[in-house]
Amino acid sequence: MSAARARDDFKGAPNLPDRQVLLDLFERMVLLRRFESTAQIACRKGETPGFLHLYIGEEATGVGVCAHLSPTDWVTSTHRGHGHALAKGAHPGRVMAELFGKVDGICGGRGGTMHLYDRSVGLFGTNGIVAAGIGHAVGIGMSARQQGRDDIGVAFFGDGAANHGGFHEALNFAAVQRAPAVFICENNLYATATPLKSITLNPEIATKAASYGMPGVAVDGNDVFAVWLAMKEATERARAGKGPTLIEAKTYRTVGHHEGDPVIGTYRTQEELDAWIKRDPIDMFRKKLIEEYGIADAEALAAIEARIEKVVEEALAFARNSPEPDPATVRLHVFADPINPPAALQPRAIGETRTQGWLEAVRDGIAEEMRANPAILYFGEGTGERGGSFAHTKNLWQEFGAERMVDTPISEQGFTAAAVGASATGARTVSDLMFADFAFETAGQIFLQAAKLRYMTSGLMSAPMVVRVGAGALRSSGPHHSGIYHPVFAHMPGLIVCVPSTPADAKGLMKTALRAGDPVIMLEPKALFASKGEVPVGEHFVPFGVARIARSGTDITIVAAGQMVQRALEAAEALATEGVEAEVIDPRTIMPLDIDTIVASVRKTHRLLIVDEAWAMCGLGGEIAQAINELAFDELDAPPGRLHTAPTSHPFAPVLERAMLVDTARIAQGVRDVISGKPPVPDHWYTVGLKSAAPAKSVPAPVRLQPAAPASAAHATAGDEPITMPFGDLTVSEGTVIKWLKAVGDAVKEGELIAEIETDKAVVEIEAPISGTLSAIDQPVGAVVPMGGRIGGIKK
Amino acid sequence: MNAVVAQTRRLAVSPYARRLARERALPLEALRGSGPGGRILAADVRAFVPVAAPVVSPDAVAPAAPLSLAASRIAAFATSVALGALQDLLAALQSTGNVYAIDDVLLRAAGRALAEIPEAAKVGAASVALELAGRQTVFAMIPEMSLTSLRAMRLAALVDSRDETETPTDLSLRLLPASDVRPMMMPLLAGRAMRLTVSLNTAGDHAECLLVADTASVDEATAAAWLATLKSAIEQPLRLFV
Repeated sequence: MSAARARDDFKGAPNLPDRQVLLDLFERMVLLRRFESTAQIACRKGETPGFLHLYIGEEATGVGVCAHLSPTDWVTSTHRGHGHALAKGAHPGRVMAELFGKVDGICGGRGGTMHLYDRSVGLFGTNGIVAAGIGHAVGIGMSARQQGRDDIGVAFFGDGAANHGGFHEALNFAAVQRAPAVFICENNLYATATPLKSITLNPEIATKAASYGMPGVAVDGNDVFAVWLAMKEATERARAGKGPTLIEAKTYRTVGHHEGDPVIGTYRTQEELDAWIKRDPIDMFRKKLIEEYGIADAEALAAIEARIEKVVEEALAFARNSPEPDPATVRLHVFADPINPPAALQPRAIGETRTQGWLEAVRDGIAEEMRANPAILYFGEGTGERGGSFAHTKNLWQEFGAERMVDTPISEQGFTAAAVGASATGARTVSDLMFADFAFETAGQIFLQAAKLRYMTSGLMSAPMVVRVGAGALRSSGPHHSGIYHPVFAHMPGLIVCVPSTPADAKGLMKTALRAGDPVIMLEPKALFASKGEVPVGEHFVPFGVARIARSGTDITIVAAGQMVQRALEAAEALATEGVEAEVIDPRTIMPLDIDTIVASVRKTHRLLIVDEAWAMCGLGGEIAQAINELAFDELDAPPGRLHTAPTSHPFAPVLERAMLVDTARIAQGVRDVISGKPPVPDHWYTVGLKSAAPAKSVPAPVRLQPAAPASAAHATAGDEPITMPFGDLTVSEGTVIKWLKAVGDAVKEGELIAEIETDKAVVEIEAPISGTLSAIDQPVGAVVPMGGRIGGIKK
Repeated sequence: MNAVVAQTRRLAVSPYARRLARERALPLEALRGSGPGGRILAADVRAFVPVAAPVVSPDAVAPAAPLSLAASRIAAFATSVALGALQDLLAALQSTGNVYAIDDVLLRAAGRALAEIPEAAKVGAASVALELAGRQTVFAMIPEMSLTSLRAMRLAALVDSRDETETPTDLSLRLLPASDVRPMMMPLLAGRAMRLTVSLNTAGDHAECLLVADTASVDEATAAAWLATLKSAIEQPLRLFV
């Protein structure tokens, strides 16, 4: 029977789609139901390890949505996601095998029920974290658009997620980006066992779309055809570039929250359950197909059900017969192997260098990579036209445009989730969180999604994104803008953690990160943004896990990263005058950690001091010291020492901040202590009950003069009023005089514009401090002036 | 062996110094630690000069072979040493689990006497050759070394077959089996300027000590003073344990 002929036969429903489409919807729903019922029995027999959250009762939603999707579209899913996986086309036997934790599972047994991924059919994971996948779909859509495809990202989530920040951040970001995405809320009335009405005063989830300026529609989630129609429109809208849609599918699970959980429990009534069972999506659709549409009879549908029964039986047998994974493989798929991209492994020709500032060097690196790879997207707050809070993306928006240099809302969770989704689907992303402290706003996306993706999928997927942040203490940045936190990130298997200390390394590591296969946490010390250094001209990659010997020495090894490297080098110079030659090792990446270079150094010096800006507790000092115990115990001639930032939040008052941070003098003393065999004893344990952290008697505050202003500001020519380069942004240290609007001898009025100085971030207008006559121009056009430095004078 | 190790006082040695000493076959007991709490460091191992460095070359010693030693050059001194205080102390220590033999204390006392009468120790500084069956073992008597360590070394020497007859040192020590006989004359051993022979009585409350000395190396007064110092050390034994 031809499709046209079949349509002619429809009774009373002339506008129905192709008959086969409708039969496929039926067949797919039956597959989902039979699969889940079989899994339920297997679970009860103890064949499936862990939890099972079954999709029984909600089949119409998953099937109606996925009917519009091709294998190159992606769906993100929830903890109740077996149905989504099957509706999207995943192999039933391999999904079942994954539920069994078997080697032939779609994730090789590493993922399991709540972490089902399948690149071949566009399944971006069931997910153990509520709302985590919503933002992934946004990035997936943006990634496809950037790569010139009309594929879309579709997020399934429950009513519980609709009150989660991940939902609101993702929808807002998707709407403003016109992201090719569709959001499907499966409203089954309960977040686990909490009724929706008890946790929001607006239970009409579809209406929430209005907050973000996108269409929102509510449909009967048990009516597969109603879902199919709503999704048809939303899909067309998304593919046409008109932006995302929110679909609320009102449905019900007719089983417990998870297997073993009561079907009714204390939160649902038998009457409510019975009412929904009467609206069973498969029964309703069967009836419609036979009685309303008249496109099939009961026998034809029974034949479909019999065929599916066989498919599921085969799936179960496949899962049972599949071997268990080899325990010897447990360490595989944490990182790409090799962890470095080919470019970073090529032998480095030592060539020409030039002096560059940190920010300029890294900007160059990003621009070079963005030119080479059009699929790199940069997400950040104010990193577009504004050029970034530290001028760290200056000119990139002008070159690469708003589509790639994406100015985001202050929604770290939302755009980092998008970065995960985009980077896993062919794009590469930078998620610029401005300050390292802000990473915790999206910690789940970094730790639970990006870091685990490769492992959960047995190496079939990964999230090669860069989380870029300014990190570390810098002149009273205060408790919320000073942290560096690299041990926290390095703790998580799957994250590469970089803490560069020179402009060349910062550029080289950024370029490597933008070609790597894994998520990279790029912690750029803010204190170094104003630093300069020699940077190789042309392609320059620094491999992960290769330390730099910043200074050679024979008497003690100092390990220091980031802004501690310079402090350690200063201490080493001071110690050299005492006859102590310190070797300074800059690991450059905290994970992977080049322990071999540190061991080789300790074999030479037999003493070790670790200096680290992060805190001591469970930190780098203990980590490296213990590694040396394990790898080079017989080489130690003294107990290893460690110096860390004091175990407090970062205080604002400069005198307190200085008291907290490790400085050059403390490093030098730490070295002397280790050499004398008595390393500094840390006190970060706060052992309760034994002693107080507070000093018994407060020491009188030292009377301290203000630090002298830069020398050039001090020596005013007799009788004139100095004109100075004003102090300004913390990360800017100097500027270039670009214009003098007055000449010596000209009369000037107080407040009148007399000169312009360009810094990395802005052009600073210099006004006359008093009225009088311009008596001196000390710094001509082109001169580089430090902040606070004198550039001229005015005589009254 | 484990029991011996368990009784040995813990020596503080940096891992690297321990490795260097092992590679150079230096006994850690012979080293003096310059680190905190006397911890032995790599520098201490590197700076170690064997205590028994001979000041007289073997060639020079050869003509004065002991066989041709003229009897006119020999001096001999005897004394009877009361062991009551020492036995009480050893018994008290034993009750706390610290077992020492008279032999340990004699070695220690001989070392102390050499340290206190430096004129008596010309060749081997404060080192003593303990006479065992057919061989000798030389102990460098480091003042700081604990009695526990000394005992451990002595017990180790009993089981190894090391012979240090050729190692230069001033004094050899011979312990005779317990008897009620007093030694009156004993020959000097080759290369040793003094020989101390000790014989415990069967009751164990006295020891008869004979010191024989070559007056060409040690004058009579020094030898007598040395023996008096030894007697005093054993009769007031507490000092030997600290």
